[in-house]
Amino acid sequence: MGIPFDTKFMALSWTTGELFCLVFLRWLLFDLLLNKRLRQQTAFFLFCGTGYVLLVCILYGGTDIFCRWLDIYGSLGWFCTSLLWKFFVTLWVGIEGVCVLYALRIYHLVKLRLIGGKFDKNTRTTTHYALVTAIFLLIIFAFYSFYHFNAIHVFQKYGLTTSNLNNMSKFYLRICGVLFIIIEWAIAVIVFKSYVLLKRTHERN
Amino acid sequence: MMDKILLWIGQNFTSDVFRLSTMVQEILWSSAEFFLVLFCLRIANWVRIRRGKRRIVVRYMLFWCFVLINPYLLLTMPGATHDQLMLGNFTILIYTAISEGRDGIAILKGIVDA
Repeated sequence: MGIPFDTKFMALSWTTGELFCLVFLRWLLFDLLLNKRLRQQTAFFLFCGTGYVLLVCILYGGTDIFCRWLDIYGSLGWFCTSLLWKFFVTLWVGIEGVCVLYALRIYHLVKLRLIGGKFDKNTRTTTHYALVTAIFLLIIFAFYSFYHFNAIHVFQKYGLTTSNLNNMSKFYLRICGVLFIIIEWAIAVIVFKSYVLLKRTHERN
Repeated sequence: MMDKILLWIGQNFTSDVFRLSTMVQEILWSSAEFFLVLFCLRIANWVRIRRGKRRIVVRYMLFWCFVLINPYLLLTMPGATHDQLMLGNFTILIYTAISEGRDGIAILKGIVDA
């Protein structure tokens, strides 16, 4: 039982990459475009840092504890490992979703500036964004817990085979996959619209 | 209600269905990724022109190579993950962010502060 080393490494490197993107977008939006000082974002960095350290601890030091703690269904040890992996997948959906929110805001700021609209640097505060991020992550992880709690409940109630439980587990991955596609297309469309906007402005000048 | 849905999933979402849906997902995901990389490269090109540098050539060539070999990889590597399939594109994106990121941010800030 336990997650193979390369899977752990991939989980961590992917999380690092996504967190890096999130911090970069946040820095770009608040520090560079809205001129809000970095020290105003201490809570955000503290939250990300603590979360990251906890993830590393769980992945490298606490996987067995996590699995033993959840291994209350006899032969379902593999499902605990699977749950941990799905937790990371859910986390990536969450971080990427938040990245889309920031990218959208940056696009709107630049667009507003280029078309000569009213540019108010105080329209959205850091607290507002932190709140939206927290609510979004809460919904995502509530769904993760709800789905898996019910999957185990159904498995026990109807006396299903482990293969059936595995199918439910795979279906959760597919749900995340659909969300990934939506997020990826959303980012692609934002990048495309940014390109069109910049090109038009360049041609006009 | 939730019980019925999960029961149906448990009995019908077999490995074969999973494999088939993975292929569809990879096609949709890859196409989004290609679209994203293409327009990131165009923006990078725009930044380079503004800075009086030469246009991007090698990265475009690599990009189109990846576009062409992607369907082949999808068909011949059924177990491959999205990351394995898109490794080339990620490399292009990271290189572009490193090489044109600073100029891009400076132009962006110039637009907003103007």
